[in-house]
Amino acid sequence: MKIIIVDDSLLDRKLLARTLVNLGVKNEILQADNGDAGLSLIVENLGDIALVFLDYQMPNITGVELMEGLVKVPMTADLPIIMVTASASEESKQAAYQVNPKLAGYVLKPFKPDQLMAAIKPYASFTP
Amino acid sequence: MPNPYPDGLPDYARVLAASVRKMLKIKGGIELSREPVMREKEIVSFRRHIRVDALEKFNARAVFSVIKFYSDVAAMEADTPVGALIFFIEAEYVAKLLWHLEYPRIDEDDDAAILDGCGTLTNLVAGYFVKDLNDLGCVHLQMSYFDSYFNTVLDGVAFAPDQTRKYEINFSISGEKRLVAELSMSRIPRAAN
Repeated sequence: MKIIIVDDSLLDRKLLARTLVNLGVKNEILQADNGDAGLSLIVENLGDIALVFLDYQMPNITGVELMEGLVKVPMTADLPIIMVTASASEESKQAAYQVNPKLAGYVLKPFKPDQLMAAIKPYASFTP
Repeated sequence: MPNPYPDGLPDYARVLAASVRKMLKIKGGIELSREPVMREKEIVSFRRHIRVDALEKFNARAVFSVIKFYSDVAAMEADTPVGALIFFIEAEYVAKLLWHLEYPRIDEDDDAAILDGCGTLTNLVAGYFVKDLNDLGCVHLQMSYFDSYFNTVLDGVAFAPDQTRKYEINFSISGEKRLVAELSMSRIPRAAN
């Protein structure tokens, strides 16, 4: 099963992917640099997605807007999604959980490996 | 004794200077080689956009990123910012700084990677700044995504229309001016208790 990272920052995508690998994650990791490309990746890989990371602040389609679209469609409504953001705003967090009460996690940048581990543990596969 | 509530642009600029210092220290163990140099300046605007010229900051090719701040989600959806942060870095220093901050190595000849790297750093600084303001009693500002440019942006940068002044803050690392932040900001509402 695959992990999909959608973030407009290439560097943050690389950093997140590297951190996941360092935590022992063995899932294939796919990346998209905007909401449209992220949606395409999700559609192409439906049925084979372990987890989706969405950046909150992206141009055109924000992470929350993309998530709102996903939860409205039965085939994608139950995808485990972790929101990532540089802003610790409680209002933003509440907005994300309002859109998707089943949100699997809300992780702040810069990524802390222990927080990331706690969020991904139920969904990712790990090297023994 | 509680920290004083930041009230106006000079206070916000001091908080920003402290946030940048903290980010460098926490992420990369980097100490500034002198106190940040802060100057209040008039905003040079054109059609309600701040004119931005990075070349005058370093006398070298420079990259900068812009993040706008909003008082709440509704203001962000209406794109009515309360302020803006413009963060400048000498282009050839971006890759080195990112490496010190434990980001993956980037190719310093790859313009797209340099633009992305500057934006990623600005995003990080903005995150610290917003949290520090909130810790001091301001509402938690919403942040836009980043836009990055080399040297100048022809259209300028949108800012809060009631502002006529901005702060320029210079940061020196290892004895050289390496980073410059510009901040314009209207009065930020207090957070509800």
